[in-house]
Amino acid sequence: MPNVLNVATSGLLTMQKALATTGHNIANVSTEGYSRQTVTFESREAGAGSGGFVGNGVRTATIVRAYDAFLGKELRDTTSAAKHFEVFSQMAGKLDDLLAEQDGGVATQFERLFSSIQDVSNNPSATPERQVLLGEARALVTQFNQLDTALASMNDQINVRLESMVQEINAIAKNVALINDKIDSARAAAGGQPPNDLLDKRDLLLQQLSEYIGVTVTEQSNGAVNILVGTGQPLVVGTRFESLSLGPGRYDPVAFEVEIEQAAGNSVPITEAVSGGAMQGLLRFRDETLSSARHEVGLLATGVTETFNAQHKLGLDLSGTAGGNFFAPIAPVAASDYQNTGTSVATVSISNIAEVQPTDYKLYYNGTAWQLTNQTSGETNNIGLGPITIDGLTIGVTAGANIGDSYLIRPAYRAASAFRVEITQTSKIAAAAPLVASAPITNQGDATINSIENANMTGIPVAADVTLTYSASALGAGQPGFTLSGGVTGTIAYDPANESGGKTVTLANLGGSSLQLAGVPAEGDVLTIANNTSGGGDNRNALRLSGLQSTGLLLNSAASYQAMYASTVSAVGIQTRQATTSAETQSTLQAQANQSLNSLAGVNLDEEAANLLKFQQAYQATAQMVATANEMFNTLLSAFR
Amino acid sequence: MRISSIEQFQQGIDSILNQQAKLNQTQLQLATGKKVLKPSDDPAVATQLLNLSSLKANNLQYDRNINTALNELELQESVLASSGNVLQRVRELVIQANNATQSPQTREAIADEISNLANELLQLANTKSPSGEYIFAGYNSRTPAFAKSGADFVYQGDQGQRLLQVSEDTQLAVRDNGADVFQGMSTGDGRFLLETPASNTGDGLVKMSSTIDAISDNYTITFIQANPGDPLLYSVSGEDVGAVATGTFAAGEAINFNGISIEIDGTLENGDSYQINRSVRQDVFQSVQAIANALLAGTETGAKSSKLANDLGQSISTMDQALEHLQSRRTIVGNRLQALDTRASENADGLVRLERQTSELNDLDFAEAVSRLNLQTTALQAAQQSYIKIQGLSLFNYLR
Repeated sequence: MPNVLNVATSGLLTMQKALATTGHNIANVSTEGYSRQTVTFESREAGAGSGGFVGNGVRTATIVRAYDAFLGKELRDTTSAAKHFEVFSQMAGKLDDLLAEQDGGVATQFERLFSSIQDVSNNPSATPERQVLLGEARALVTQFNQLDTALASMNDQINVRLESMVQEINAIAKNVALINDKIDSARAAAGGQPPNDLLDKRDLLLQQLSEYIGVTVTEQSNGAVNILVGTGQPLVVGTRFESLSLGPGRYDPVAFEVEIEQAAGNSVPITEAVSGGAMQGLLRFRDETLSSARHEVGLLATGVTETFNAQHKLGLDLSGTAGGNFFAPIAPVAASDYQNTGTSVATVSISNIAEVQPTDYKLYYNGTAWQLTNQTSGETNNIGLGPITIDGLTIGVTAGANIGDSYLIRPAYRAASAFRVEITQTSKIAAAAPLVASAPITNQGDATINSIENANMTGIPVAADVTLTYSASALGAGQPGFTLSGGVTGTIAYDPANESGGKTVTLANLGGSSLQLAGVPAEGDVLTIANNTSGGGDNRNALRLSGLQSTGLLLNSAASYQAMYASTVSAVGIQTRQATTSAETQSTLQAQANQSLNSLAGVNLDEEAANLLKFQQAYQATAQMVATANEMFNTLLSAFR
Repeated sequence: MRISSIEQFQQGIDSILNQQAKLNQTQLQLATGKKVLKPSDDPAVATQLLNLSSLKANNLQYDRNINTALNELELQESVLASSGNVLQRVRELVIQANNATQSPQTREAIADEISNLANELLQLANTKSPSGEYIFAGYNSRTPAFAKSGADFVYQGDQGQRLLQVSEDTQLAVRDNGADVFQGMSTGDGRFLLETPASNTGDGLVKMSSTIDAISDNYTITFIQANPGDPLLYSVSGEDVGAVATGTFAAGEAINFNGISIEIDGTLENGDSYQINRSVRQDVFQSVQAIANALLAGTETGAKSSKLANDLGQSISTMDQALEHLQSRRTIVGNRLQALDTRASENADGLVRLERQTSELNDLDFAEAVSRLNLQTTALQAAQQSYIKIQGLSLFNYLR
């Protein structure tokens, strides 16, 4: 009898535990990171008696959570990857939107600028058209400035997000270390039973951590976990945790470097080693997409400045003086590493804008020579002690460097913000060409100089008018041509018999001008080239300026201004599209991993309802046994009455 | 497979959110009527669209340039036409003046009118564009093209020619300089010009003809009669080559030398001479003014009147040359206007083509988009309904 009561009691107590656990599961159906718990029953040891072992009831062996460490790892890894691409595609999408606005954007402004140049060429001496040209040029400059400001503010946003991420990561690392400690003591106190809810809490923290940064988690025999980030830098070891922090960029103070503290307050940068998580998404976007967009927009600004100025300087303004800079020159930058210990100074200048690439170069001193590494292609050149001319840049560096000193050569990184219109007066717009040709009416023949186009300003203005005098024997008997006198001397072979349709010759001493001669001169006829002293109605340089629009001037003379901008827009578009696709794929993988884990660990209410019934019935049955035992006892008692 | 309750809930929500995102994109497309809303929607098309928009802007600019060119050329054309009319009137007046019935007074009146016409011509050559530029002054367009300096007319411009960009690869000349237009014409008949010295005492009327295109020298024919009654001898000498021909002059008989043939009517006197000079280029104002001057000088009879007749005869030739020259300039302008018409229609076609390409690339197929919208709406409704249905299923409903 006592045995029956004992067995019944064990059943009641165990079923209470089971019902409590079921209730715990139901209560936590919406708790993030909760793993359902199950009670493992086991029969109590039977007492030996005559005729065999009589059962002794039931007891709880343990309460375990449904969890699989491998599925947990998979979820963390896929979460890191998904967050990485999600953040990257989010940021790329913003950049995409920024470049997308078609009306009033940079592309439209280029069109308007060149339209206004053509309007000037239609009416070169009129002030209103020149005023419009200046206005459109200023509007273009503003577009570029604003674009660069917008790009810079994306960098600021990234910094703010990095800052909060670092704080989150540090908080989580601290918590994990704390829980590691708790788990250890809880387990010891419970005689080795698993502290399920603490474990869930820690796994949730690890899961949250993986959203920010990719982690490697290893479990120790005492139940604590170690966390490694980057290329194996420890973030948490047992109950000890390290802190992430942000430091200034080596070459650019606002391009934050992610650092991790190591023993004795020593921080090492891990920016490039961060793999996975929102942090990698941000860093990769900043260092790849955003940076290359800024390089390209900057190079475009520098390119417009250099090439437009070059043509503008070949012309004459309304007062007849040679054109000056239209846009203010933009100098490339050699940024020095703030950790440099030497006294050397690096300089960089543009030698040929057509060859300049939208990339940075790292200049590194190895103790004997400087090494120049293209940051996009990774190509390294040993340049000795310099200087060197490479990719349209002339790079030089003075003596005094120590080993490890370095510079970042930035041809155009922030150029778009330095883009300015230099001229302020409409009369300074050089719409005219510097030389003018004429044929006196006293000529017997009809030879003319159809056009004269200077390639530089060598020898311009000419000291004296250049006279071309025709003779059938200018270059010796039977060799017809022109003899030059005045500001430039020499001879030009010209045979009216078969060159009267037009012959182009170049005068190196006269601005490298190319002359187009045509017609049949009579002996002694002269042609004159003079300075264009009062050419307000001359639109030749304006026409050439407008011709820049369709000329391949940048990126190895392959891209016009607008083509280069279009390629920037399309590159960002392609990257955004790829990132979006990757983000979708990764998020599907994450969802699958989540599903796998949930399928194992998640609470199913129907299942719990069934369990509730099962344990309730078992409880009722066991309670009935108590009644039965009671009845049995009463029966026995009544037998003695 | 075991499904956890939270998973079931999450999946329902996710699929609803997903359908909403798709619906949103379609709705944006319908609202803007465009397929590509941002570059990442289709980077290749986005680049093409940027390119097309730049070509369109250029096209519109060329349209404006063509209009400017049209105005310029039409202005030049009308000035050339008016100048032609003026010269035509001068020519008529010369013919009228070259008539024996004219008295010195009537000639003076004619000379007066011709003088006025010379001034009218000068004003035409100094025509200004609406923006205040002298259209025939070359690049020096803020200074009048021609000015009168004493008895002469001076060209103050240069020989620049203004070109305009009328298509991607065509620059068209819209302004010609005055040196070419008003100074490029030859004197005489384009080959030679007869000059009658004022010192002649006879009243020979000269008729000339030639079989050659150009003469190579300036010639002088001198008539010598040693004693009255002797035969009248002539000698021809060239400025460069010296003596060319000699002979005895017979009235009504031609003197021939070096491809030139001269007949002289009337009476010649000892010492009379004529010069046959190569044609040179001379500005048209000078030529017209010279006629007026000749008319004013030649108001007497006899030798003077035959000189006047000879000179006016030459003037008619000169006017013919000038008219021909202006006509040829007008033809060139006409050709340019025609070329411009072609450009304008090509440009208009180009714009239509660019618009069509843009539309093909970026215009939304509304039928397709609307049916897509319907499909997505249905899918969203299905997702919402199934969510409600599934969430309603629970064993707890039956635990009472």
